[in-house]
Amino acid sequence: MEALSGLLNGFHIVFNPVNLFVCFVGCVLGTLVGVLPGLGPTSAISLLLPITFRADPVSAIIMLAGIYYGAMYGGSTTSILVNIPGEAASVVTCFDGYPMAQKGRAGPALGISAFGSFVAGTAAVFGLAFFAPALSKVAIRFGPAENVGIIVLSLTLLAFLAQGSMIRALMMAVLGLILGTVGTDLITGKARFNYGIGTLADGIGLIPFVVGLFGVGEVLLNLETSIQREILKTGLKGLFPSLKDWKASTFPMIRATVLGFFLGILPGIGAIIPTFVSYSVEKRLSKHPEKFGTGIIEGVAGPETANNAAAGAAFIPMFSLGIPPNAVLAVLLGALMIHGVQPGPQFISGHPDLFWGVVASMYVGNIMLLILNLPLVPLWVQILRVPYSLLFALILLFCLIGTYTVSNNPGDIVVMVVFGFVGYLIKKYRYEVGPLILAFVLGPILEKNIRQALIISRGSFVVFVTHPISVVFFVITLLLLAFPLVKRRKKGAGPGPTLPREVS
Amino acid sequence: MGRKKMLIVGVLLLLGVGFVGTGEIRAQRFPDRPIQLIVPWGPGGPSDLVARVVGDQLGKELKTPVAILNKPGAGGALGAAAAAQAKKDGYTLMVTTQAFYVTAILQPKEVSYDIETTFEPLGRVVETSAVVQVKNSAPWKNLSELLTHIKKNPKKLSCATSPTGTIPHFVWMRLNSLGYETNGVVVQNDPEGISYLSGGHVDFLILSVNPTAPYLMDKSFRGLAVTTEKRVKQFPDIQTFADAGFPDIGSFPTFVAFYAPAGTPKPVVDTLTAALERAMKDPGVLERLEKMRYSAEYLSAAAFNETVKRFVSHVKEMAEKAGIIK
Repeated sequence: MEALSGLLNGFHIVFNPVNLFVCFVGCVLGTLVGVLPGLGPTSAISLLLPITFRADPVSAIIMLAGIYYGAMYGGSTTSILVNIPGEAASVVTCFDGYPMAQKGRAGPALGISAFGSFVAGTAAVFGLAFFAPALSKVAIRFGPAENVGIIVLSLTLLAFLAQGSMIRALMMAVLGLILGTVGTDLITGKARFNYGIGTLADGIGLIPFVVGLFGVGEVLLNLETSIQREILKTGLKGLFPSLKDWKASTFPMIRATVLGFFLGILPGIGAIIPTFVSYSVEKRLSKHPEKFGTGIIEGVAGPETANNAAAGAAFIPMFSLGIPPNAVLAVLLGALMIHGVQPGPQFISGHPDLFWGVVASMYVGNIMLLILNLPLVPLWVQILRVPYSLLFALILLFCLIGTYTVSNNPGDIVVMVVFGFVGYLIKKYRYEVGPLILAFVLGPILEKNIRQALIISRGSFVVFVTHPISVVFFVITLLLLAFPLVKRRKKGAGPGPTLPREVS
Repeated sequence: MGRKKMLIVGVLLLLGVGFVGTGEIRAQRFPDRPIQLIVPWGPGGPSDLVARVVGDQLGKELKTPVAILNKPGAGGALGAAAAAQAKKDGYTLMVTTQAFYVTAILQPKEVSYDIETTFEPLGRVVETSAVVQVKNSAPWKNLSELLTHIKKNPKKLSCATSPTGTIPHFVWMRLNSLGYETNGVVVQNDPEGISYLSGGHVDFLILSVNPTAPYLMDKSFRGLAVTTEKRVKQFPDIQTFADAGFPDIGSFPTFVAFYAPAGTPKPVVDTLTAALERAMKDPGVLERLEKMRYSAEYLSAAAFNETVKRFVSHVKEMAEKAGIIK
């Protein structure tokens, strides 16, 4: 098989000291950058671009790619330990990861995260190696109308995220949609709701928003209720996942890998959406959905696996079509261009050494990351022993630095602080942050795709029914919406199925 | 005691004079610190890549490190504002595209700089072109066939372009105003445009040549026309609007240039422009830029200003006609 020989050639390229070293450096840097809130792979990659000038393209890309998927490993660490996502894609891990840490189960959460990331990363590389050309043809079929189908389905899943009052969750979702409209409208080029503030001209930045809501907001909330933090010092019930944890996580990990992988191939979807979708799906399919949010392993295994699968899958359109599906890979593309290489349809056949070298390095990189992250779990858990009076200052400092590095814009800091207060209020009065973020991310994408689809169809809404892929997603959405109603009617007037209480 | 004191004071005064120096002396020692290039766009974009490649060589010519600082936002306005506020000592420069002028013309209220007075151009380094392209399976073999079809079926075809204010968008508006009406689908970034044309979701695409080059090269996209006065070197078969028989569409250059804040001392500016010109003669730089499909031609400030004048009046006229100035 041609792919197999290419892969073997790739391993041959990777297993030389220089490439192994840069792969390791990339993975370490990626993990670090993923752990620190706000600081993301984009900043790290652009900082390192000058260094890669002198190197040869293969080594350069191996390192930069390592930073990218490494960041997806590290992002969950702070989500679990201090309820602050290291990466925007790790937001969902906070929902169950942090409660697990509060129950003394930070170790298993971190362990399952690392392992799930490894499974997903490896599967994604496998897909990239053997199915890239075929899969990219599928990705191309998704135009505006099809994207609308997926986004509508994703927004519906929002309903499953709600833990408490549905009204509050929906209120937060609407707030997210409203906040998503701030910025310059794509189609007309007119600025909306930015009130002349330059920083808001491109919208509320995702990183300042998330870091503010979760980072600053969390710190503010904890400063108010400082006493309860001391509980974490005691009762670390084991540092590694138990057999029960492994069993419970198996199917979520498999589902999340598939879900994250296929959603990640599509340009314009990114890594956050697969994590939300995975979380909602796991909650929907679980035998004990009411436990989600209190700290169960499925709530961590799913999202963490999904974001790594999506990150790996993002390389597929990048390498087989030259279409980077997100901003980070766009910078990677820039790095390739500086080296005189431009990915496109002929990339794999035209630069086999580069492609297979990078693919092989991703296998190696995922193994390196697993080895790096698992033994570090006890180390990370020690952070919880630091008195919060010291920890919070450090957290705020990292949030500040991380947010600033996104665009070197002091305005982003102001945004972060403002949403810090918003986040404090939201958490204090027990409103849901999940729907807020999901709607904030999905709203603009949905608006853009609907309008693009309608421009192409010259205003006809029929387009959503005539495009087969779009129809499929709408039908699934309708089924999802109708199913609980049907179920309820069948069981009579009960409030929903009652489940036997499980003792954990 | 008295004499010793006077001696010490005298020596200190002498040293003091030496340190303060005059403007002339400072300029000769310029640069003695790293130079910062502010790029008002995100990493990986055209100005960023060109700034890195050229800036690297510029640093070698000036024998000082050159660092890039990305300050994206508001169509280049945020970064320009930051560069405008920098000290006018030649250590902070700006590298940006023609969007510098376009954003100021289209949204004069959102920008805090003046295109004539806030900055002093050091020179244009590269020019690039946008291409009107269709999928190779499309029935139109040249621009004339496409435009004839559009005239016969107004507002039927869809055209993907980059956002308002970019050259592809201007070209689309110009075509519309000349009677070739199509539905303009604005895409958020270049990869989206490529993906839409590749998947057959739009009928044709107007996008910069640099991201679409691999598709033009392996013939999955067919280039019908380039938007500049001269053809693109790497694609000699793609005609200009004039070659294709439509000279009244005009020409729309995309360029990347270096700027210093206005008021920077003349000796410093001269040093910088000389170094920039030398950097743009370096074969390594030229090779890199050509591989990225930029037309690497240094245009000195004087000649560049001429080009800019024409460009700005052209854009102003089109923008006023289309009524898109806010």
